Amino acid sequence: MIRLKFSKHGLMKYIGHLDVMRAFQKVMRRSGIDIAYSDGYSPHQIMSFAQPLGVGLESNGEYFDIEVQSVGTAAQLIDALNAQCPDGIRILDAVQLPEKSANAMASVNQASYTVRFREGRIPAFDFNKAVSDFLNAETVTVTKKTKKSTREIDIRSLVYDIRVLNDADELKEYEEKNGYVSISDGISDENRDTTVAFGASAFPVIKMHVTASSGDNIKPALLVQSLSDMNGGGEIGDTDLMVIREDLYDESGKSLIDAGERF
Amino acid sequence: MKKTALSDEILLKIEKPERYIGNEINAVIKDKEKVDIRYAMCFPDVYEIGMSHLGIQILYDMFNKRDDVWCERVYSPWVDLDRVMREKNIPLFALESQDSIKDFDFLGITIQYEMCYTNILQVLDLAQIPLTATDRTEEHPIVIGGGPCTYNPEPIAEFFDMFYIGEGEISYDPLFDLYKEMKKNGASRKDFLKEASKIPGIYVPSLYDAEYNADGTLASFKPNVPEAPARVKKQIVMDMNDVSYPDKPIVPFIRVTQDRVVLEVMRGCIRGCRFCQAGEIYRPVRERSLDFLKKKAKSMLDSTGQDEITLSSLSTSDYSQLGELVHWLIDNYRDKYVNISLPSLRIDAFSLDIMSRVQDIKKSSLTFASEAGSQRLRNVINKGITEENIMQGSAEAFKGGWNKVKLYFMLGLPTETDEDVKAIAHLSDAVAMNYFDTIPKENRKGVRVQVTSSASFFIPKPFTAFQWAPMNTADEFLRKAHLCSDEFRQMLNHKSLRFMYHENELSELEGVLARGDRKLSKVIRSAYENGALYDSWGEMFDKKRWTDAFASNGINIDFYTLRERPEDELFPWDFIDAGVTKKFLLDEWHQALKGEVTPNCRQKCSGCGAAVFGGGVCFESRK
Repeated sequence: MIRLKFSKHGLMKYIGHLDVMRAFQKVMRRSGIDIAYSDGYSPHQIMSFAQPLGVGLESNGEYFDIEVQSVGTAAQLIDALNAQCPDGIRILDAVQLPEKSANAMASVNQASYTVRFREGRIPAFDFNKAVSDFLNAETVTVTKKTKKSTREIDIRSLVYDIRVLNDADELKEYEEKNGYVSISDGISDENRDTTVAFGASAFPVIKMHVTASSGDNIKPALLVQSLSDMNGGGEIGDTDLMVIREDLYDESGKSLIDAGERF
Repeated sequence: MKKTALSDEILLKIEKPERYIGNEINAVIKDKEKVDIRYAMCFPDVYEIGMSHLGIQILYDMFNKRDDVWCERVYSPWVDLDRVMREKNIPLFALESQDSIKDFDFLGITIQYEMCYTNILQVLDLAQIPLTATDRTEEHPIVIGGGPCTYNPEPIAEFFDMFYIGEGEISYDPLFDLYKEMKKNGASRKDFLKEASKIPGIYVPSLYDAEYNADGTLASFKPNVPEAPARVKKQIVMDMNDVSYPDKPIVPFIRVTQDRVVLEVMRGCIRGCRFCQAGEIYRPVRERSLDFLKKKAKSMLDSTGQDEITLSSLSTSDYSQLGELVHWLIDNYRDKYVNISLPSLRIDAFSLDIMSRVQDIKKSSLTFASEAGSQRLRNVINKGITEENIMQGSAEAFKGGWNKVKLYFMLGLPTETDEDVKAIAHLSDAVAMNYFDTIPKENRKGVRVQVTSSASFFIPKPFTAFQWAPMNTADEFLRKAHLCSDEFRQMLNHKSLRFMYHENELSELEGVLARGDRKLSKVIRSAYENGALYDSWGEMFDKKRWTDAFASNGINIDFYTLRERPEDELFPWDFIDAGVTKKFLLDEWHQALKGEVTPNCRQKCSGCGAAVFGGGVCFESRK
């Protein structure tokens, strides 16, 4: 099994998860990768994705696993795929997973995000205070609505970290300390953070690291809404937040790319 | 980052933003400063429908091979975005550059069905281009229409600067060259239109005047300038192997209707069914060579990564090298997991053998286009399929493991009696019975045969033998559908049968527009102003918008639908020379009324007139 990490930016943020999967199936064919097919009357490529990314979100850390019949080096694979990827999608890394590894979907447990507000939609409350209150609270109860149910959850226990960065210096300092979350290939700065180009206010930037397991998936909007609710900030609109997913991690907090070896 | 015409927030609030952003694999991006002509190619329906159209893919590729032309795409915005664009006054834009199409040199609109006419007005309106051609100024693009509906362009003549009659591969180069030259010399729009009307296949409606008799029929139709020819001759490709065809079709992100590589094996049809317009206007049959098709299959599959290829034509069974082509595809692509799809095959032992090799028999169904229930009526429409063919074909199919059969019919055909209508149920029942007779009980494995019969309503079309024929009213269509439906319920095997029929009122309206004249332009405009849009989408169609439009313009639809038109009547489309002569069509109309069949082009030449093009099946040696 090979795990591939990719970024999704620019116009690709409007392409839904199922269509991204279909696009990758065609990328495989065009690039001539010797991908394995399932058995049965209508064989399909053996390919499984970590976690769907909502339409409108960008990402620096998406994952899928593929089974191949034969393959060269990781660098050759990455180059061959990137030559065929649509504009806005870039394969960043490839690793070989050990035998019997859990697949990407089963491994995902946490996610990190960079969140900004759309220009003119910054709620009027003190973010620094809101975040420190949140982190100091024992529990924070929010109502989580899904298609099937509405339930109360303690969101505090599902948040590993949350930071507010108020200006370029704070952002720089944060990134120097935390790095570009294991992006080995170094996509250019311009391409890894494009929400401002889509109309986001440059600051404040909210960095968050939250639970993203199949049972408890905390969407950035839910967390920001709870900060707003605690501070009388009002309703955060559907399109007020502009979000980049930075990376996905397993239960131990290790990036999904670290589950395998470069080849 | 690439700009979008719509803001991020609009894109996130509408359905399927992928429809409006372009950026697909194989879309063509050029430097707009380095081209002389900007062409917006429009299919006036939603993206998923428009992207499935082969003709646009062919012309898009061909135009973009020219360094001086940048051809981009535009489709009808769906109703959600339509509302937003009107509210915010956002002009309609092309997908590739995201630039407003009102600034383009040409807006080309392919017109594939009559029920898209209000969408044409939507496209012009949203593009902020005046709806009436004569209101346009030097600033506006030249609006040009093409496609099958241009074989009677009169109902929409007012909205177009010009129409291109025939296959686009022929006259676009001279048209672009002329435009470029005249633009450089600062010629006026009016002068360009006059010069363009000299190019074969180009029809400029404003250069022709129609006069009417007291009864509303056409009295005369003549050019009003010396440049415009009295008759406009359709343009067709005669060497199908020395003509542009895409190597790199665009690959959409969202699932579109025709989500596969399309290999057009031939144009035209030898059959001559009397109701079928395509069968006449694409005459004569012209095939592509095996070599050409192999080369294109390879390049298109390689460049798109699609996992399915379809062999396309009006009647693929009549492609003379079908066996060789399919075997080559199987040999070269089955192990690469490429599916081969074969629509429009006639069911016989040969096609069943091929289909069993490329399809999942359990899932697929077989289709018989019987079109009429009785042999008498099949003779009237010259549908060269007999009950025996259907019984033999379906028996073979049942033995081969298929148990789903679809039968296509039309209601309202000329000379149709109630007995003919009921015969649809009887034929369907006979097919189901055939299953039980063919497959012994112990081999049925608890599976029930399913025969699905669907009926559309017959609409007489220009350039067919039935262009003189009266059409049923919407009420009569419905009465026949109910009569047929009741008969199905009486059938012995009714539990294995399903019967479905189309929207009768939509069919009636399509009939009006199909054989309409220039007087209908104002009706279409009123209907659009009343809110008509996406009429071809059943759930969007609102009859009242149209009945109000006819009433407010004092137009009686019966004039267009109910009359049996006199043999000497001048038709609005008679100025088009489609090769097939009016005399031949009239002979066919007489043959139809006598219930006499006419052999197909490979059996015997019936002298339809298409031989004037000097090639194709007309010059094949006959067996």
